[in-house]
Amino acid sequence: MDADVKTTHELEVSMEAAAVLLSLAMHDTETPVADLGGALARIGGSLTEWRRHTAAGGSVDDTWRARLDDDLAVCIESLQFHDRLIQQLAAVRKLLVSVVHEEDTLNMAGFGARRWEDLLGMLRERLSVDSRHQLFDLLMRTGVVENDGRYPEETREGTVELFD
Amino acid sequence: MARILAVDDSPSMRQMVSTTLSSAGHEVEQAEDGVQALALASRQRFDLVITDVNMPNMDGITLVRELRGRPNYKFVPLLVLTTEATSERKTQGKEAGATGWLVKPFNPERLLATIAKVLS
Repeated sequence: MDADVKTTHELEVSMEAAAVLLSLAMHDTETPVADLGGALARIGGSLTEWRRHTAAGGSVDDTWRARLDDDLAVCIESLQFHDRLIQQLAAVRKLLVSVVHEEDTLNMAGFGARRWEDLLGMLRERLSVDSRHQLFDLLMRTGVVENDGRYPEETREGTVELFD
Repeated sequence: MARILAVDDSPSMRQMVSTTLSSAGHEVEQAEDGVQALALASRQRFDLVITDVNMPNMDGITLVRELRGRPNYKFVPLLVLTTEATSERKTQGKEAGATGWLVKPFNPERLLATIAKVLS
């Protein structure tokens, strides 16, 4: 009986984690794509300006180059959303496959979690940090995992930590 | 400028890292997992290795440990570039011999600054 209850609970948590993960993946894609589009538009504008400038016999100044470098950096940073998206979708696939096969051991590679509850906890932290409380509340109606910790500064995206 | 080995199973990530490093004048070789990286590192000498963690065949933590065990890579900077950011994983990386831990997505300017720092 206990085993059955546990299985039902795990199934619910698994499905919930998969749903949250998919929602997170969709939301994660929006900002970088918008940033990428903005940077490409600015690069296009800069190139038009450069053509007009050089056609009139002018030369390119450092400000123009710096602006182009900044926009290229935005492109490189934004394009990495694809890698994250693939990881999130792969995680969802693993989650769903493991549910179907009723495996005990789940592979959460890329998320640092060993259990569904851990993954849910991490997703909850992530969504909290991103100020998406309303979305999170909507997705996490069951309240399976308590959000008992703050999101540490050193775990945020883009951070660098050099060891001694 | 340095000879750098970039290790990641994602072709797009390898391309982003290579583009960033090449733009700063570094010479970049690519490997798609730890096994391929070890093979390359055996044949060539790199000034720095930057690796992802979750990869097929051999993960980044194992790669760092393997490289650190080799005399010619004992003092070579080994950076980890990953989406993973838990203190547990970072500790594993540190204990394996990693020089630093960078959380994806990386900022090109910050990556170059970090590389300049560890190479100096």
